[in-house]
Amino acid sequence: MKTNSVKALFLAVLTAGMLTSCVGDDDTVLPNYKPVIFGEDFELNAVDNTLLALPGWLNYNELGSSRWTSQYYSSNNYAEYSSFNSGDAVNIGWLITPSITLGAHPNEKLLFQSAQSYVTNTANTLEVLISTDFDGTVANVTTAHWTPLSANFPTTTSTYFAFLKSGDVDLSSYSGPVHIAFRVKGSGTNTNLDGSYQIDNLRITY
Amino acid sequence: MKKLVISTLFVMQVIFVFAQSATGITGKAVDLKTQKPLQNVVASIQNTNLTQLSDATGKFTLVDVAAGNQLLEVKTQGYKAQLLQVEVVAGKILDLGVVVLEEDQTEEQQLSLITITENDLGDDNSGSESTAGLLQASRDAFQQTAAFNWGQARFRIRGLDNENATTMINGVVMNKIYDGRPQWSNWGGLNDATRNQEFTTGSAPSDYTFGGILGTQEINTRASIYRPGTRISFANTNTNYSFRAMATHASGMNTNGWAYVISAGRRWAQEGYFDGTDYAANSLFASVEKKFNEKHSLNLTAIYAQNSRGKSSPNTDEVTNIAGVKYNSYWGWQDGEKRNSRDKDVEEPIVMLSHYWKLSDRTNLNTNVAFQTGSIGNSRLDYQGVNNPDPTYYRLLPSFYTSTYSGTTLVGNQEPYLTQAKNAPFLTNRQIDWAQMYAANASTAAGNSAYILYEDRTDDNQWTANSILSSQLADNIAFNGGVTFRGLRSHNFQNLLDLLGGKYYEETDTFGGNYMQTQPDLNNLDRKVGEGDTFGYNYILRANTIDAFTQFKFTYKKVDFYMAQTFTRADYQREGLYRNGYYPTNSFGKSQKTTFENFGFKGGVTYKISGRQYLTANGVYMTKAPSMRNVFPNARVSNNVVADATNENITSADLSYIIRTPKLKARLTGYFAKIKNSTETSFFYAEGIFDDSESSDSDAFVAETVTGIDKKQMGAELGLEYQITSTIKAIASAAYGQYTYDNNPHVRLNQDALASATNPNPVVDFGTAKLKDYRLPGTPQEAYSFGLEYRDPKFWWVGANANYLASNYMDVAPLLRTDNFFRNPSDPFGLPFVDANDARANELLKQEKFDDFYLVNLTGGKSWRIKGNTIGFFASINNIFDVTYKTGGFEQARNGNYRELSQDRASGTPVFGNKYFYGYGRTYFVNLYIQF
Repeated sequence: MKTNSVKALFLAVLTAGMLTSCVGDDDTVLPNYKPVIFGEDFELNAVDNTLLALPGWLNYNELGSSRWTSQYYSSNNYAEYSSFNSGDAVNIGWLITPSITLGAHPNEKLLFQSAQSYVTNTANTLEVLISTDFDGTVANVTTAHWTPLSANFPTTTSTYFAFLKSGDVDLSSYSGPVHIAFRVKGSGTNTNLDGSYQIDNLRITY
Repeated sequence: MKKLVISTLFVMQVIFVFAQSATGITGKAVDLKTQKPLQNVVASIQNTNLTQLSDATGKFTLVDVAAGNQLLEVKTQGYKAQLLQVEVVAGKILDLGVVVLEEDQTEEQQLSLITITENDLGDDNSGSESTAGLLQASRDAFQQTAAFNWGQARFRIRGLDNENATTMINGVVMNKIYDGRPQWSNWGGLNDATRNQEFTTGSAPSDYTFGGILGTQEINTRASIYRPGTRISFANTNTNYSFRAMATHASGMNTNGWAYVISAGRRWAQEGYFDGTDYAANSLFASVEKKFNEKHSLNLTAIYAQNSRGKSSPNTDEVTNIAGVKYNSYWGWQDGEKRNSRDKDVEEPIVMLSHYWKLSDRTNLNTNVAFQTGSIGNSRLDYQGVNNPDPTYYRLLPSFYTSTYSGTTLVGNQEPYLTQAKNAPFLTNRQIDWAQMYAANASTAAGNSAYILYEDRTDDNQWTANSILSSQLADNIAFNGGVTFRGLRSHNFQNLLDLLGGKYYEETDTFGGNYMQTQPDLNNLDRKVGEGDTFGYNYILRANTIDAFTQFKFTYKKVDFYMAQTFTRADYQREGLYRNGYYPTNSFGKSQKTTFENFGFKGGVTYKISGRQYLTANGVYMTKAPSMRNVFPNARVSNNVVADATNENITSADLSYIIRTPKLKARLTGYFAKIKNSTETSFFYAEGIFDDSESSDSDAFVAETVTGIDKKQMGAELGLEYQITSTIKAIASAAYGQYTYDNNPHVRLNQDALASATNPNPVVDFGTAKLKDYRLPGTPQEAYSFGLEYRDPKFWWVGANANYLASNYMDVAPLLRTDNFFRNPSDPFGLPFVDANDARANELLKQEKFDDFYLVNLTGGKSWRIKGNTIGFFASINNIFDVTYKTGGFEQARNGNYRELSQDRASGTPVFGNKYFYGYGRTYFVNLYIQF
């Protein structure tokens, strides 16, 4: 009948309209953000003045007894390496990240903050290094190939404990698994070389 | 005799009397109970223009009726309409004899409905509004279900806020200019006096206004239209009040042309449904009409309704688990009495003079002048340099301890926090401690009050003048037109109510970062204020609005259609009476005038498939000025205007299929509405939004403005009524809707602390909030109902219905959906939190959906006729199984970012958890009345 066809048309239009613009409970999207590829702020489970033991990280003393420690100052936890009072003629300490896979995004870069205290001689150094062949074991630290990366570091005239930004450290030429290392060289017996270095807020982003 | 009457209950006596020549129908309308003739009963042939009113003897005659099978409707205010199938024979007048009309019991139901609607309507919390109050006068099965059965669950028709409906008294708009919503308390407790109502749905045409997209409600208080008589009623309930007494007398028009109606009502409760919610309301009503001659009548209406009630708090799950669903944090014991710190007092009398001018048989002009004055006060505690008196303040709750983190490690699940949580103050002190506040005030060095009770006051004066013309231009063309002018002066200030034993209060803003900022009024430095003094903020809002509309309605045999258009102009201005220390250059004196001009067009068609089936379509496009509250986002302290305060764009369309037979009445409607570019402002206390330092424990009063919001509402409604037997009726209703945000609007926060002479508008732009496809809050988006009603011929009836309500969602915080959510405020490179990931973020930002629930309600009534008087009662039990359900809730924006929110949630005992509103459990309502 005519009436029925009008009804049917009406219902069809209604149903079609409803179906085409239905919203599911999971259709919402998140605010914009660029997740960091790797980040560490040394806050998780941090206990002041203890050896740094972050899961997946390697805290290795190549020479001497000093190792990287967790420190807390001004509502902030960070990592520190100090040769002061170590009694060792030479201290070399490595802090090596877990394996990080690079190359997923263009223009990947490393950012971190570093500071120094009582560093008076340029031979008392902090370096940041990268390796593509390090296997994560202690035995391999000194045999793997490490390439220094250029970044802003505090100098002997920098204010003690004042964190400086590294600037963008270009990682765009790397892809695949890498390890990043922070290496400090100092001495526990030579007071010219017994300063400390602090690092914090390590980020790899793009 | 009585038996004879009863036998005519739902069938009419049809006696065929043959008259000469004319073709038509005649009959006599009488009241079922009294058997008295009913005057002014409307008799009309469906799908024609043929309408007649009954005379003083109840007699009506319709002539020139087309021969054949016709549907005759006989109806009048307060009675159930009769739809009769008649066979009209050419050249003959069909005499129906006596048509008995039965009083409509839903009117008794309306009286119980009011108890639901008044409670939360017009409160500043948008989480708990319902449009039920609009619908009480409706005869539509769906709308009645929405009002009577779903209203208690805060169901909103089409998901629309009541600012989209126009509420009028005698054609005078009662929606407030400030927020666009009607203040129901202005005529609360006068149910009998405000019974004459006309209602339109959606954008369907009203004779009085262009209206919004939800509908219109017109309350007519013209004295001569009231049925003469006296009615006294007394009710007992356990909802927001305990008792209600009402008395109303209508004189009817006497031979000198005078008619009057008077009414008085009182409602009170020591304690309503929720703890510590006291209630006291008194209402008076008078309407006097003088008919000078056939052309001119004057009517004066005066309404005085005063209402004072204690509010109840929304609570977190933690608090509800400890203290129960009825828990209310706003009250405390004082001298053996429960004293509520958050009272709402409304007292805004209305006087209205109406002139009715019958220009001709076909044209009427109604002109009104109305004045409303009075005040609304919302009380609250304030304090200086002492602890927050709120017993649910977050530091007093167990969760404050159990959610403790050391850095990013949860330590709240260890000692000493577990013991501290067991000793949390809230566990032993759940209410406001008035005695402690008095003691603190008595022990200050200078005798000043550390705690005070004040109210946020709004004193309005509003003039309204309007003229409404209605004219039957031709047999099938009707015209309506009107012009309304409104002028508002709204004085807003903080009023000190009670020093709580102290000698004075120092008028300083303790959040101020410097001396200037501590001064609410630089023109009066370091003021000491006492009870009854204005302090804190003080300003006037002025608004002038003009609107005009015209409407043409065309009626033909197969098709009816209408079109209407409107123009409105509104200007708003703020005038500061204080020179605020944060805003020395732009808080004192007058702001710029903001003007909004808007247009609207609408139209609709009814296609009559047959005498019993119709298709109706309506469409509207209109623009609308933002309400005044959304134009001045920080009105308490500055003249600043919202950056992109622009008009809203509203589009709406609906399509209905309607069937009306003597046994079956049904309506199926599909609708779509889009409100674009709307603005919402809100005020809340927030921490850690601007400044992440953990040490700052200060609640900052924040004004949030969200602009450019698009909302989309669509769905379908079904209302069905089937008369199974002459005494049993089945009613089924269903609403399926989807109400969503349709875009990503812009969020800004006003940060007073940044204000200075060089930065008088310190707005922090948070960019867009990803709100698209989140559900709009405040109503179940799905509702289903089935009910049965039995009406015994011996004047008693019972009804039962079962309802299922679903898809009600949390009011999401826009601020949490801005990019700021992921920004780590302590990251030196401005990068997001290192642990942020999509999976966890989706979990955190997922909109909470409240549990679906069932409500079963019972109603019943009986009336007796004793010596010419009617005595009756109406009783209802709502939510008979005492189901606990959430009607709404909101996210606390205090955990402004990913890490804070993630940690707070991960602790298992969030400190700043969502807050919820609950519906009533099992409630009853009994009303006894006598009419003579």
